Amino acid sequence: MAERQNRIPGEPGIWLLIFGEMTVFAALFASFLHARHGDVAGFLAGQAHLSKGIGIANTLLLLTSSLFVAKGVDMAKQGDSTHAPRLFAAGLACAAGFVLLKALEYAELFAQGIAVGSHPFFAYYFGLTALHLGHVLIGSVLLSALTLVTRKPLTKPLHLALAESAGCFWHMVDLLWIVIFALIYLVE
Amino acid sequence: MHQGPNASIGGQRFMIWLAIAGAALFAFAYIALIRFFPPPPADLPADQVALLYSAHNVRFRIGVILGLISGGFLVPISIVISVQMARLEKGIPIWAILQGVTGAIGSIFIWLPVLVWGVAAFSPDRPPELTLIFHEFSWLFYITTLALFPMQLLGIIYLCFSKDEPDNVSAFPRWLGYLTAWQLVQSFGGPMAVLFKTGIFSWNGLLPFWIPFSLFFAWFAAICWTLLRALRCQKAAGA
Repeated sequence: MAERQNRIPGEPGIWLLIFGEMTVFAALFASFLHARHGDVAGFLAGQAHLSKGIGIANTLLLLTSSLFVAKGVDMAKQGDSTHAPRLFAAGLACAAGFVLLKALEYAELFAQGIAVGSHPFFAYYFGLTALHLGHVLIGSVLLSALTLVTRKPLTKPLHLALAESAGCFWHMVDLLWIVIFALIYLVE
Repeated sequence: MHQGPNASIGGQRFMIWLAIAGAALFAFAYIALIRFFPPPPADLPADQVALLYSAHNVRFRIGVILGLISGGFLVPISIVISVQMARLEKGIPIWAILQGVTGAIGSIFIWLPVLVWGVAAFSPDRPPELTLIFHEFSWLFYITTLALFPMQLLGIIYLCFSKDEPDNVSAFPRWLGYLTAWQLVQSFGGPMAVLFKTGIFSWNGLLPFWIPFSLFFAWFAAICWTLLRALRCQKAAGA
């Protein structure tokens, strides 16, 4: 048990990528807060156009998918080639739901005549969420790969570490969304 | 152990140093003579854009000449990467071919914008609005390299994780795979510059310019180093 606690999940290299990504997003968040500080009323008016319901649903979808993926990695480690791919597929289905809701939200804003240039708030809103959506799509490619490769038990330690690394990337996508949701949808 | 193509080690080394020398000359031309570092703001009005090209016109055009001489530096390094990838692949080396082809065509994103800067500077007396078109075309060309670059990186990432040789002698250690993957993920920020004229998403902003360019520099330095190290090991193993 003590040995387990000292282990870093996944490959050390994935943390280079994850901390790198989080640093980039932290800089974007700081820039957002700085811009917001200069025009609080304008940013709040922009925020009022967003649907909190969709935001909450998307947060729940990503949290659920993270749970599926964590269980899936666990099953893959135990060599369970029946449940692991199903869990990754369930995670993928949540990701698809997230993308669908995001598309609905964009469509709704476009229908209201709101676009990137409408107000700095929407420049940040579209910029941050589109960038995050790109990460969701890359993560979905990784989850699809996991769904395929875990149909046979993973035997090589390296392959397990890579599966775990892909899982960590997905948790990062989830974590970044939670911060985006709090900053863009909720801050008052 | 590996039966892949047997290329001259001296020739590969020469190409790596050719790429490093080219990149250094390009950086000098771009930073010191063309002076588009940091990039001009994307919302600059036409008369000020025209001024970028007409003031210090001769220095600018000399920078363009040097940039054109050196701007193909991505080609030799892509060839060496392909040769090293082909060593590790079984059968027809499709990942090496994809990497080499996309790297060679992708070099256009480096030197063609420089040529367009040359066009913009060629007639300083023309109406500013016409120069603005060349300016915007060249900058968006320079920043939105997404069409080919991710495909070039994909094969490198794949080999970093699938090769069967130890990390410490390989041109493709796994940490390079993660660095390359990070670069791939961040390259999606580039095309967002098409949507924004100000702020962190515009072509002079954090996301399309500063992060991809810093990562490209780090990646280029890293892969030159791992390639030279791998060639040293291959020479020792062959001797």
